[in-house]
Amino acid sequence: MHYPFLINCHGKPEQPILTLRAHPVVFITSGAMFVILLIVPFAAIALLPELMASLLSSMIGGTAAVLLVSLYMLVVLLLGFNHFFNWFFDIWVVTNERIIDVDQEGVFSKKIGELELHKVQDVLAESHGVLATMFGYGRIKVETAGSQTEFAFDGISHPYAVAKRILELAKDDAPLHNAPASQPTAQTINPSL
Amino acid sequence: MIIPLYVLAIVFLVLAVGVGIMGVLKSIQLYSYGAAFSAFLATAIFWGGFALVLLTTWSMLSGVDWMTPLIDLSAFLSPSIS
Repeated sequence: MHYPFLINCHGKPEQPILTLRAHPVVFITSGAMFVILLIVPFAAIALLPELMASLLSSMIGGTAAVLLVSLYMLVVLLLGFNHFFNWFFDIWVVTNERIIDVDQEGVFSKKIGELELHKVQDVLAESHGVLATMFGYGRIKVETAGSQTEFAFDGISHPYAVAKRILELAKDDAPLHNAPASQPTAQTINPSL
Repeated sequence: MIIPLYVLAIVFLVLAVGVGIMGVLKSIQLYSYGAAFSAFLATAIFWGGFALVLLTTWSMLSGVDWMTPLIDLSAFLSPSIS
């Protein structure tokens, strides 16, 4: 995977360190609906064989039913593909400089947000639910100092390890951005002058 | 005025082509950031399913007389003056 949004920082190209995507279980559980929708026509044929046979035996009704069901299947396939597309492109890229939140919404809409690592103040990792505990995924929330900026990502694998890594990267990056504090100059005043 | 059955097929084809175009656009974008196995698998499932649905439809509709009147609108037209 290549990242066209990386920049140069401190005279060096930015290095992607973590690419985070929601756990596959999150995709599978939410995508199960599309499998059920694909099964519906077959279930209807199995449960109502006489009705289907009479419908398919008429020229116009049968043709219309076949075309309608085919179109339904194509649309469900496309929606399922779109679901995968949104899961695949909803990523966080953690570099040595920034956290980049890429959010692709359909084909024609993309949103990229960023948070500079040296501004990170707090990283919260949490995991709730049976599946999340079994498969080891959860939510990460990154907060910055001062402003109300907040990044949150649901369904990330190993949220505690990722939170720890982000904090480590933030600590490594902070000295590169803090201006050296001006040394207080000692001035002695000669009272005799 | 009689609307034949093939009008239904035209509507279906237009919508199916639309689904196909969206599928092509999504497939292109999936590979624009580099290949991944999951992207390959999802693309294969989508296009495999797409081809299977179209082939099944084609085979189920073989033998249909597309010139069969779907709707007869002549009742709504004024009678011809002779």
